[in-house]
Amino acid sequence: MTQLKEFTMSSARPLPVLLLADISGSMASDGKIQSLNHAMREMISTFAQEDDLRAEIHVGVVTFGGAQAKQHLAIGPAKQVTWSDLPASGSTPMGSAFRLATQIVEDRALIPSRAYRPTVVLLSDGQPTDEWKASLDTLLKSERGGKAFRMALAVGADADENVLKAFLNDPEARVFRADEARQIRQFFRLVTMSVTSRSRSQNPNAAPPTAAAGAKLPADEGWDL
Amino acid sequence: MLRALGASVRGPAHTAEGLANQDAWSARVGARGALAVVCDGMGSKPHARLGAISAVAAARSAFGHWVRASNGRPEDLARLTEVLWRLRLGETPPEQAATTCLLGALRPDGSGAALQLGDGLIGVLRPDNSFTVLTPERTTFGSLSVGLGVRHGLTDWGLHTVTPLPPGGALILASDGVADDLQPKRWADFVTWLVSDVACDPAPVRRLQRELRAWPVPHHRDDKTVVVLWNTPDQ
Repeated sequence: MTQLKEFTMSSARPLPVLLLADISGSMASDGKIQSLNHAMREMISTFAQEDDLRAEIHVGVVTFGGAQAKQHLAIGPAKQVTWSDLPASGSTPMGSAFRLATQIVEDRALIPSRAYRPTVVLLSDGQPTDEWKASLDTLLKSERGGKAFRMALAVGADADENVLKAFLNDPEARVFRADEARQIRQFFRLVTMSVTSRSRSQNPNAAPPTAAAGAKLPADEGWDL
Repeated sequence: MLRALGASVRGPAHTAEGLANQDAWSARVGARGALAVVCDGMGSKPHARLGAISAVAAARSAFGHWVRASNGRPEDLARLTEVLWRLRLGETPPEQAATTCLLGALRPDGSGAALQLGDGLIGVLRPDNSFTVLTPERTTFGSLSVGLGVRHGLTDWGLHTVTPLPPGGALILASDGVADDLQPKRWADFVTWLVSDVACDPAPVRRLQRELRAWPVPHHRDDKTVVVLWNTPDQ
């Protein structure tokens, strides 16, 4: 047997996906939090079952609801994730979530430098209740945070689309909308498709087509949110 | 006495897609010194393979001029390589032939230069088993490489003067397909294994190719190239 195994990594190059999820009190209405939990389970399960990939998909979840953001799920291989449902309560400390996201993305112990560019997904149904601009600026200007792919979902009519657009920081990128709870699931299918297509591609660091504003999603799949 | 060993194998991704190996390499030891080159053509570019092969050829030509000059600095070798690479490309737009470029250039006394533009690994193993990484620490993520054909300046090159390699010393160059999958704590052991085990095989290049093809990291996909130059202790 080759001795190389002694010198090499035992795991594949990670492709990290970090979700910043709004779990403020308003997410408890209209089945939104249930839909989010269902969608997360489905996405993690799909990632865990993928085996024809160039990378190992890692998933982490930061939640913001209440006094400050929390790491609900430490970033790690999707295959090892045991999902516990998110509750919904409190205010919307999105700035705190951006600060925690910056810490995670910049931490080379959590996301090693051999990893592919991470995807950071922001989902919110309301307006930030803390100071968020400076925190977002820090995330976007950080060495690694600025290189992450970003996707955003505005849930319901009260979501602050301008904040989500600022998060995307790309005039060509599109804020997706979910007017009904079931569309949260559709959005997560889109995230899943985007991540797995990157992971199967020759260059997982290339921008996925779904990141563009004009991206055409197959209507019969119900992707168009 | 300086010796060299190197090999490159196509990664599973290119094999599956029916594409050729996009890495190119060279390792030569002669009366005028030794040169090791590893170039990793950026797979997303249509002429990446041509870019990598041209960069190796350019480095070899550049070394021929550089090693004759007693005052040649690492940046001189980088500049020469850049110009010769563009000339070799002819009408092919450089941005369509982007490639990383790693060079180890040693004079007969073992001193010389190590140059790096883009991803990969260059390191020096000393006889006391200490390993010095010449590659700057990556601040972002894998495969976001600068290279020939990608907008850059001389400051993007890693430029190092190599003090004479004593007997038992070694200089390693590896493309990111190898470098990113090695445990940093085992770099020295990896080089020692190449020099004291693989290089002693009756058919060392074939052995190294076989080892690289049997790469044990799950889901590995990249082409893999490694070259080592070393100074053998007197027998």
